Amino acid sequence: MRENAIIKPLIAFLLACAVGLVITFFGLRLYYSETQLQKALTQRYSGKDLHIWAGQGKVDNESLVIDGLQPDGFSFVNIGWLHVDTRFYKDIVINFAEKHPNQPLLLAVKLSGKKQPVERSILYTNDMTSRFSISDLVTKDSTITEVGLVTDRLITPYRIQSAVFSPKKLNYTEFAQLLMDCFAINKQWENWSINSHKSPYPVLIPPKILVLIYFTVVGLLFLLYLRLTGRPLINAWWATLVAAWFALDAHYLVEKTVISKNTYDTFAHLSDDEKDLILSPEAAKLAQTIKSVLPDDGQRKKIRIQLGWQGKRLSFNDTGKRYLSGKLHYLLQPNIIYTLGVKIPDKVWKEGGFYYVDARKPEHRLQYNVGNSTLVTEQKIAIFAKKILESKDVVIYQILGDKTQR
Amino acid sequence: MSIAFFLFALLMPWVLGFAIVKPFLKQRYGYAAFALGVGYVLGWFVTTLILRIYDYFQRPFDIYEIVTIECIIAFPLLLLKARQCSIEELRLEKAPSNLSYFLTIMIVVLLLYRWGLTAVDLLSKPVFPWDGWLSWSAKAKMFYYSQEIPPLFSGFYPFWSLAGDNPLPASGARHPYFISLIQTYTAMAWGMWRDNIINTPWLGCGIALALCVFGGLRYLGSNLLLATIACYAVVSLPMLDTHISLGSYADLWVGLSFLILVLLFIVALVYGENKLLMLSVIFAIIIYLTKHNALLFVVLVLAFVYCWYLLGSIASTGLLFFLCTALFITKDWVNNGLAEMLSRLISHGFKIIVVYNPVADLAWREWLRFDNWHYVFVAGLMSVVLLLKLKRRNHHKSGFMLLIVAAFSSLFVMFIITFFTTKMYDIVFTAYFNRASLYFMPVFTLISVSVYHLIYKENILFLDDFSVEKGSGS
Repeated sequence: MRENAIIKPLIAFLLACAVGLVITFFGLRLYYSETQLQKALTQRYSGKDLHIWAGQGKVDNESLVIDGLQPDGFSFVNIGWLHVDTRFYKDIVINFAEKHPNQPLLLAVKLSGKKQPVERSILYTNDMTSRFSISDLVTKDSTITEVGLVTDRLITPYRIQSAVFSPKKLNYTEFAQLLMDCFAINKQWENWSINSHKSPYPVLIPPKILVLIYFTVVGLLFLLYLRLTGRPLINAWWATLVAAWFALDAHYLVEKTVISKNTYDTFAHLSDDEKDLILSPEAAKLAQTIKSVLPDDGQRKKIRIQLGWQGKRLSFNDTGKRYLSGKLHYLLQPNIIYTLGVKIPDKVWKEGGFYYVDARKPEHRLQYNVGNSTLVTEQKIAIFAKKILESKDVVIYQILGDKTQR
Repeated sequence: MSIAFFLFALLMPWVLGFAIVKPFLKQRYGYAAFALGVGYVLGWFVTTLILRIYDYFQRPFDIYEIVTIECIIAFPLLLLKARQCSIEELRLEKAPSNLSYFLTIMIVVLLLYRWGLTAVDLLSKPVFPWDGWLSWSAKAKMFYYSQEIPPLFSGFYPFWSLAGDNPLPASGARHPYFISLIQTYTAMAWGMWRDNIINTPWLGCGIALALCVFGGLRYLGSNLLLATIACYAVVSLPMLDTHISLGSYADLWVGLSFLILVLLFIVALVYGENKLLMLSVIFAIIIYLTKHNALLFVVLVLAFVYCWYLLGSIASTGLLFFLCTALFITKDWVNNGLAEMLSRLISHGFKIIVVYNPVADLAWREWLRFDNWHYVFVAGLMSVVLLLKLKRRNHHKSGFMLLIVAAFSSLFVMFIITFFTTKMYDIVFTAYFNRASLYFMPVFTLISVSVYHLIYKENILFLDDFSVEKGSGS
């Protein structure tokens, strides 16, 4: 009996959900005029966003000036980490601030999942603007991940002002696809090396806000039903709240499933050392190098590590060094690790009995005298030390102490 | 060591905590779940106390001995039962409908699926969180290899004056050892240090959180389905879920302990079960031993709840609270940021404060725009607006009203601490905002359920309202 009593409101709520979908979609289509869509979707990169891979150049007033080739006669600049969904874009526009009319240039466009870039010659034009139709570049829906400019001959230096991806006029289907893109799943471990703190592509509305708008409409429709049938209006709030929460959570749960699977595929079959190599390669490699030269006698060693900020205390923003230092400290346990923030006092040098890891650039490292096996400290004191490893990244000594103690 | 022993060793703190908590409770609805939830944290706390006692007597940690001690304490205590309710205290509840059972089971399935994914995450990854390898797990690793708690000093600064052999360098040496000792115990139970194993207790933390919400609300008078929905709402919060999946962060434990503390405090006030106040004090200590700076937050919130319980009016409680916070933010607690903000207010008007206020900016982004907390703020605020509109009688001593007060005072205290003290500088570290929010968010999520209870009579079943009110209202 009780179950029967909720069937009607339940059907009404489901109907409200269906009608709400239509109203929200057309409401948003109405709200987003062509101008607004153009503004929201246009991706504009100034000259300084381009990266010089080959050749010479400099950033000047937001534009990039290419003024030299590399010795083998080649220049290549590009914008990477793009996410330009070709379903929604019409043109790639390269704006030059300065260019010889006969300067040969090749536009190279890299698509996701394709190894070879698509290449097109930039037309010899005087109007400083080269426009490429995306539909000419790609035959089916794809994602542009990289755009570059290549040349093997430089007539005069040329200056790139900007690269712009301009959107096309969307029909209803494309607009619906664009809205659905707001729910694109974030695969956490993919592209781990990218420091992508913000979405690389335009999201028209954050998914949370979109769901909120939708359920506001649904709630209002259900409220109307409750009003017409004389039922308590507050039930519209509870029903909508629970439904909206579960809808948002469904999205999150799908994302969590993908991420967990991704985590499992990435890490589950690896040893702890290999996992560390993926997550913190620099620290893991250095820790493994240090471990490889330590005698395996079951004793804890004292290791003092110099990472290159000698003479001043770490600032809070120096997160890279903090990260490296902290990770090393963790990875090299159970040894006793001191990451150096200041110079080691004479007394400690003279006492010896520790390993000294100098991971600074070669020119900043302490001098070692092979003839008498001494290391000259910053304070110009010669102490006995045994060099046990030297590479371009690191040099490791076993510090034995001063002469008298020896 | 075998997996069987590992699981047994991990289960023992839970059994121990459950055995300790159970006699404190009465046999109301949900008491067993509540005892399990509360017992999880308490059990780990007692376990870490045992480790500390070992260290005090300079006896190296031995997992077999420690588990045996836990058994010796726990099993006799298990014989003690929860106290019987008197006739007046008994609550009669209608049997849940089949639909309620069905929905409850569906939600439990979703919870199990979620925890399954969490287990995959926890057991696959290495120690990934910053706080883990920088502080908690690094110390845990030292304790594990030392088989004791050696004296530590901060590893970033070479305190040459301490250059003797004893103190070991450790980042965050001044931070308490509760979290680290949990990881040490887990590693010992496994038999070797494994990055992916030491965070296993975080999964239990998520389950305990669900049990606490479910049991606590049932204990306070909620019905089966509502308590399950509330439990899911809390566990589904993405930021909270992330903290469970990552492991090695302390904030989740603070959030869980705070939720337990608030529930125990409210139950003690509402039912006059004063013994629970003793447990509340223990949980305040646990919070202090998890993160020192969280205690001030807890004390202020509880003071606010108690004021409300005594006075029952927003004006008088607000005035009292204003005086407390005014005292709190005076002198050197007031930061330059505030002075700067006031200067801007004088020179540019109110708008400039909103525009340049980092707290407002982060609140908008992290709380409302991003999917960190689902719709918790919209739900909480809107529900309270409805409560204010529909409130028919004074509920100020109801447990659910006290939950709402605790939730809003948490938000208020967090706002005061973040906005008016030197903590303001910390918010440049974006993670601070979400991690600090984790302290009170489990309690805040319970607002909507509490409002539901206050608006409807407590014995009306959810989803039966349509039928009940249709009969009376239309």
